[in-house]
Amino acid sequence: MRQLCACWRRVRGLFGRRPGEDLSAELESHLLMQIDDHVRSGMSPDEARRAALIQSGGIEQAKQAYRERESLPWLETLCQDLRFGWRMLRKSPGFAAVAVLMLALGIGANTAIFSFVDALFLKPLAVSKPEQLVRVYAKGPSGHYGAGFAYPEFTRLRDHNSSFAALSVETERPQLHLVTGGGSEEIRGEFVSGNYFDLLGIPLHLGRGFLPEEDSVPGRDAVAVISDALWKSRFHADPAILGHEIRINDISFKVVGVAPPGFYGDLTGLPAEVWVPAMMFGAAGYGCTDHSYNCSLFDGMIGRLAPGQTLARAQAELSSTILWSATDWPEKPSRREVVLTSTKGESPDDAAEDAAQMRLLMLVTASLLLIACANLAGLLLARGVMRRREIAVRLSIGARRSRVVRQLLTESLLLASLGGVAGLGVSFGAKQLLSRFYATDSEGFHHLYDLSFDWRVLVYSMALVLIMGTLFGLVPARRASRQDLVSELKEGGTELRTKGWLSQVLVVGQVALSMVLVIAAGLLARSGVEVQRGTNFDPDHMIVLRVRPELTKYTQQQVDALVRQMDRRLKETPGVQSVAFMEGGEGLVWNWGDGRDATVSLLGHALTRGESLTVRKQDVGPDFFRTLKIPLLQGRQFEEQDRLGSPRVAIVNQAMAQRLWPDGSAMGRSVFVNAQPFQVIGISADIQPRNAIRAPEPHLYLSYWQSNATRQGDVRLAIRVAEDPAGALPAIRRVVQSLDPNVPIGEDMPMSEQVNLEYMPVLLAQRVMSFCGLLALCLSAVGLYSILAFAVRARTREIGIRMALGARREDVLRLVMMQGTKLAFLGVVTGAIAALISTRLLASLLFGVSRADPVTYLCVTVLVFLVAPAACYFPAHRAMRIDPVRALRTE
Amino acid sequence: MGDRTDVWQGTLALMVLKTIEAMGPIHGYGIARRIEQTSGDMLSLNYGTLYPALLKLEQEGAITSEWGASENNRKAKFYKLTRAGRKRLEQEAREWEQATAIVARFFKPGEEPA
Repeated sequence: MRQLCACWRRVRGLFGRRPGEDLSAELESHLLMQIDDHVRSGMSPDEARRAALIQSGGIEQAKQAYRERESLPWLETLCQDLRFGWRMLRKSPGFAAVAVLMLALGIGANTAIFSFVDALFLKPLAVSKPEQLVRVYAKGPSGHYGAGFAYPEFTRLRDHNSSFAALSVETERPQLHLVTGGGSEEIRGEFVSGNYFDLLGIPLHLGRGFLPEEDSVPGRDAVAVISDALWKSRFHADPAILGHEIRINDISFKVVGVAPPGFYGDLTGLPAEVWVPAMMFGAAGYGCTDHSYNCSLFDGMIGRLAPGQTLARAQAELSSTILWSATDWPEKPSRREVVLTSTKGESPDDAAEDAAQMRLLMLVTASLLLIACANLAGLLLARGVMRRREIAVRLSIGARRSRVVRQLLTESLLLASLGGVAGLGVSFGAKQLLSRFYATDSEGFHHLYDLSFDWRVLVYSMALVLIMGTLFGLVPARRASRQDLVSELKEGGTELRTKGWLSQVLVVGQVALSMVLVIAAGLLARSGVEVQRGTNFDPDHMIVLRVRPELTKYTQQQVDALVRQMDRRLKETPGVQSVAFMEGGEGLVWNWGDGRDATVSLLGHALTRGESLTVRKQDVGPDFFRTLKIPLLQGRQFEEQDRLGSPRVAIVNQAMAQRLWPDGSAMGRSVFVNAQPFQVIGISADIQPRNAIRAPEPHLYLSYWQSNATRQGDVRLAIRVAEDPAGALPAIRRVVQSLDPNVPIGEDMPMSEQVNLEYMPVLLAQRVMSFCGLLALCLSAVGLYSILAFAVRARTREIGIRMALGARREDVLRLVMMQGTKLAFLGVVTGAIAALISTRLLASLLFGVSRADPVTYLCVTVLVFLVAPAACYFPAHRAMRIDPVRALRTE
Repeated sequence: MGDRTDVWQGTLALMVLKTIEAMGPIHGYGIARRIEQTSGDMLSLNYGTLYPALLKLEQEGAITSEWGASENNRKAKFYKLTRAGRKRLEQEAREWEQATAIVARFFKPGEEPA
């Protein structure tokens, strides 16, 4: 404590009054009193003074000792170094600006990506004591965490465990259909247990959470809590909302509470706008209404651990809990495993999907930072050459080497810190740009991530600053301090030896690494063009939308009537060229997800392994192929007459035709789907883009009007329009709403936009890669330029001698150009090899382009060889104009 | 003056504190003279030793200082003990006595510890 206090005073002493003034006065009075004493004892004044001075010792030494004690010497030298470093930077503002800019972009890009990593994977929930919360998932045989729980499984788990203080079931639905006075819209909602808000420890902004009895009887208590955002956007922040009715999925819910601002539920990235009791799940149109075992599944649970419990112990307990017996659940589900996870970041499934993307982006931005670092190290090495004389003088008047290294290192850390501060600014802008990619997905659902600055991001960026500053500063500093004083001072700083191998390696490394980034950017750009163009379908001038009358309790007859009317009315709408429709469910119009598998075979009898094939099945209406411009390789598309009662027909894609009939005899053959024969009347092109890890899958198209089971009231429409699809969208919506103003409409957007959103990882990687690649290329050019510029300056005398001995100006130009081009060439070769190896990481993002695509490699090589000579030219030009007379005289 | 010893490291603070306690508010010169006298001119204090030590004690909160006038009407900085300084002096004096007593026992003939 005493030392701490003293230390604090010393720090204050550093900034306080001018040190020593007080002391001088004190020493003066000391001396005078001593002289007085001596005079009193009989000495003459001169004698007295002399004796006193001898007795008291050196005044300057005393002051020095006092000063060292007065403040912290190391802190003082640090301040000196900082001041000196700042002056050095001010002296070369061009260098400082370039260095800070490089670092700002490098650190900014890295920090922005890390902010996403933080938001996606690391941020705890903004609730009270988030470390006590755990999620409970059922892990299915496919390894996905969303296998779900039946409601009785939840109650059994809740009532027979000692691990949790509280447990809530929850299921998220992104497409609740909300009808208010202002119209109808889709919102994301969560079905949760009655104790949900208490469990999270979220105090409501208005009203109350759910009561336990409101979550006890299936379908009885239609109450809802709405988000602050919904309250403000839809209900004008009206406090009278409490007690009001809102219609969700055609049920009236009474609003009992408004969540606090900034609370969007507990699922990272999936902002909920409304919460309703889990007991309303069946009534809201999802599965059966009695919450029995044979019912729709709930996504998962969230629980607060009992005091003293740990995740591992709770996991052990849950693994041994039996959730159902064969009598409870005769149609027993496939094997599932109860898994506990932390509530940090996204759900494990989403996190696994996003992790690869984030790894790639981090790798890219780290490469950029590495290039910037190499570049700065090169620049500092070169500056070290220029500052040799200054450093030699310091060393010769007694500075220790460690002192010189420390001072140079302080300079580079100062530079890094300035870059870090500017980088934080850059990262805010970059975050905005990046978050657009994550705002909406291809199904039109909104996502929201908390990208706010927190201590993890701060620590990360500060660590980057420290690492960078040390990395690019240490080697040049050590090298600069290790020099031969005598020769340095004697020769006056003209060293003919060029100890430049290190800076040359750095430049080659930069060129190579930026080559890798630019090649990757090129490959991704080609891939992006490929997916945006659509593979065998034309997404331009197309509008997609999904209509779900099932959510508003349509009967099948009503659904059929609605679909026919929509088809007819849309075709009559001005500007509409053609209309296609298909069953809804999983996937998109042009890209079919999992969950619509069908097993087909060539034989009518029971299927055995080897004779059957799992394919993706889709029921499409007439005009589907014509509207999407999917080429039919053989046969015809579905027509109006392909309806119930007429011969069953099917269209297969090329991949399926080749799998089932490798001899090419698909047309007219029969294929059995669920033991019923369908005749193949057409073969279509594959519409899935091909890449290294995803070959086209077999697709089977059946006629929409021919299949009874799937017309449940969920339809996707694809409409080809003559003009701008975004402009035509409102008119299309109006047509549908004129038939039923409350019919739920979603996923409505231009198809090209949907394609972009679906391939967001490709486009995002492409944008980031292009930015980093071009920046890296510029940095390498700067690196090349600076190493040559300093080489020319260091070799001025040599060049002067060469010219004096008869070298022509062109020879000098060639000499310097050759040096630069040689380095660039080495970089290109190394980079091409590195790219061949490392683009393996891009395999999942490259559609329709090989990762060894010769065109891209060639273009990038040409680009580098255009940039490199440009960077070499200016120093070479300067070398050429050296005046031999002056060069030799001044040196 | 060659036979004067330099001040033993570590004991200076104790001597300074004791001197200030004995003399009341006192200036640096007075402390130096007093220590020299008390030691029978065996110790000599120069500026470089005394003033950093005073500064250290002040930073540690054992003493405070104030400008004032000396007996000969010269401007001088007077030091006095704080409460913390008094406590520290007591404690360090006790420790010192203990330490010297222990060391002394090693040099007393015939009194081996039991």
